[in-house]
Amino acid sequence: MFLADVIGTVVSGTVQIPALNGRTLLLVRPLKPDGSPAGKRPRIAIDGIGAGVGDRVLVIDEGNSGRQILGAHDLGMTGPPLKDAPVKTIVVGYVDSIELRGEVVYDPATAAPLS
Amino acid sequence: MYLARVTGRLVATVRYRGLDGVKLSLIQPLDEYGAPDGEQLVACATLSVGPGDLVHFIDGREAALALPDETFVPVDATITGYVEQVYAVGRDISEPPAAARPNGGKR
Repeated sequence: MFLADVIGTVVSGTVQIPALNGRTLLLVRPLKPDGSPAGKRPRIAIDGIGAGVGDRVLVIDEGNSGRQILGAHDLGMTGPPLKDAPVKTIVVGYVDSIELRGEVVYDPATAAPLS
Repeated sequence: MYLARVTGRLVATVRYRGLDGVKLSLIQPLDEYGAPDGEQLVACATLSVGPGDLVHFIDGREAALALPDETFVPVDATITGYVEQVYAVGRDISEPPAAARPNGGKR
């Protein structure tokens, strides 16, 4: 899993693979533990928790785990459960705080807005 | 998945069994500003997208799973959808400057 900020939304209409129908796609920026950008290409992740722009989240990037989540429906996701669906990047957690080497480096209440 | 823009088409007649009829596109991955990021790739295109279109694509094992028929094939990038609009930090990054589009944006 990796840490990321949700920086945007992706609107994809009907021209997409069936596995993505009815699912929300978010643009996420991978981060280092201290909250600075990891310098990686932004990813498009399926929303599994109802996250929105500005949220700091946990993202899974592994196919089998992703398919388990989509099949389980236990995260309140909509859309059909799919065996062997071509999905792997999914937002699976909302970060409440990050403590790094004994110091709180992230608190949503005091976090700076996205830039 | 990643954001990319389709830059061209590619034809390869002789290829691995199971890949017959699968169309190939050239795509340029994009960064969060909608600018090109890294090298262009060849990706399978099962959807009707063409040069100039903004798309998302999947890499790795899942790229083969995204194909409609044969899913045990040597493929590592497949276009998974056409992007109508994408916002990043409040900016709409869907439209590139016309000069940056292949063929000036013409199909």
